[in-house]
Amino acid sequence: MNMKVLEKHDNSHLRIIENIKKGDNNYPKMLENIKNKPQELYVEGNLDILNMPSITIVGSRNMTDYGRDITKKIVKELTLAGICIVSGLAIGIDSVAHQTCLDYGGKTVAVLGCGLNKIYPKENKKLYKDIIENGGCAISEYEPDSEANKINFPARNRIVSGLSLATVVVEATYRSGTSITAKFAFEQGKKVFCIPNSIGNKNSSGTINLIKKGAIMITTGEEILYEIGLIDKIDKYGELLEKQRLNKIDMIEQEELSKLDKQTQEIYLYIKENKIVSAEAICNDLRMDIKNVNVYLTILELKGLILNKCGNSYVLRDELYV
Amino acid sequence: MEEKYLNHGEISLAHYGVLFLDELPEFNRNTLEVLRGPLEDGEITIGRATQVLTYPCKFMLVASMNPCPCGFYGSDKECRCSDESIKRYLNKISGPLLDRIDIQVEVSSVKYENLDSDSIEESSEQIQKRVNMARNIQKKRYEGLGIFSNSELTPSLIEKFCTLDSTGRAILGNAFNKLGLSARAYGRILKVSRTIADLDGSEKILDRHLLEAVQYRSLDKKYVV
Repeated sequence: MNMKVLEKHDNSHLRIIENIKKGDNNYPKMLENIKNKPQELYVEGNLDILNMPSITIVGSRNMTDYGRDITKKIVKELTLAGICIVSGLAIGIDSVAHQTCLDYGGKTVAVLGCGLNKIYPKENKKLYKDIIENGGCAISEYEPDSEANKINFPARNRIVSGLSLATVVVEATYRSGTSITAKFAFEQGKKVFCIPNSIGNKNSSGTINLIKKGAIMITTGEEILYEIGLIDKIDKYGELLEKQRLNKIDMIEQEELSKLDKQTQEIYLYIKENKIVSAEAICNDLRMDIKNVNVYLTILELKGLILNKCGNSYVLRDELYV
Repeated sequence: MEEKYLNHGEISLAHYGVLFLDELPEFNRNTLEVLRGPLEDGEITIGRATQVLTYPCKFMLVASMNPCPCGFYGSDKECRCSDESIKRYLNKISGPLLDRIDIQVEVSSVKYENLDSDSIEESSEQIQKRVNMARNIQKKRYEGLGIFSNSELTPSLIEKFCTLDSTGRAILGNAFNKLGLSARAYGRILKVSRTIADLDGSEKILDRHLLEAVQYRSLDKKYVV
């Protein structure tokens, strides 16, 4: 039987945390077959999405810029394909995965290693609220008032990997919670996907080790969908998406670019060619005055054609550097 | 023991000059917050048990900082900092203080081969000439108002001297929506574009002056998740 526990949320409105026991009708099907399946679960939000096709995205708390960008890209592709994103509400990659999924109107599941009234880490309280309010859900095997305790976090990871069809590891060090999640996924007979990364990188030892152990290296969301059998041909789907994307860029480019003056066009094409450039490089290579370059860069930014990234660099809006 | 006389501090010593703070986030946060009032009012009041004194301190604040504790964030070299430590580092400078800094520019590190590059550079004499010209324009414009330069403009004076035409207003509106500039940056951008226009010898603030000024709010529009 289901028991409804009513709890106050920020002393403002009521929230409902549902208690599901093993054997209940609405016990997540994905968890039926895992080892050590939780005796009971506490769930807040939209329970139905626990039975949607879903993918787990996990990664380092100390993510790099590369990790952030690639997580956004992959989550975007999966979300637009109608996949639910499962993650652990930790800071770093987890938060980016949840947030990006919400940004693209997707549904996402947060698995907590503590009670649902004691959201950890605290800085993700708003993200938690956003997840619930946008048709996602939060799930924990601990009583709502259980405090966060480090020793519970590794065990939580079996639910993180258990709830989904496969697990994607973006960045991880050799010994980390992320590696534990991947280990559980292997044990549960699920595919593990890793994003390639330079072997000297601080966050690559975990992913490289996983690849050695049989994780599949992927670079796009389509490849994941293909590997788990949700689409039957990779290049068709990938090509189509890529074509659409390029067409869209071409259209915007032609339309917007034709309205701009010659020098602004020149700068745009220069950024397009060099991918990531500084204002100084533009001045030097195109022999322009910094005064004018700043004007043209603002025009391009306001048109939504380029982005100003940290470190005095500019990139095309649609061109993540991955 | 209480000091017998209240001496003036660094900011009063910098009266009508430049106060340069290197590695801004390394200063004590309270020390930095104290700057807010003087930056706005041009004077500082020090109160102790024995006396209360007000010193003038119309100074120009110039500061430098790294993008993160290790200094490599956003550069070619690998940054060793975590997201949290970068946030913590940048948070040492409060929003209100950042808002009082008119011009924020990011510069990338210089590569060895570019140390003696052949790029055209303006000489200091030329720059001095330009700056003096702009200063004279401002002096003339603000005659009788008790101020000398654009940086001293009050909100009501901004309305009077930094008028925009309809396209200029559209650009600014667009910039606020698209680049996520804070409302407090509004007056700053107008003042800076007024100065750019003066340097250009232009009586009106043209679109290009405004567009250039927007580019100097790099910390405002910086996007860090």
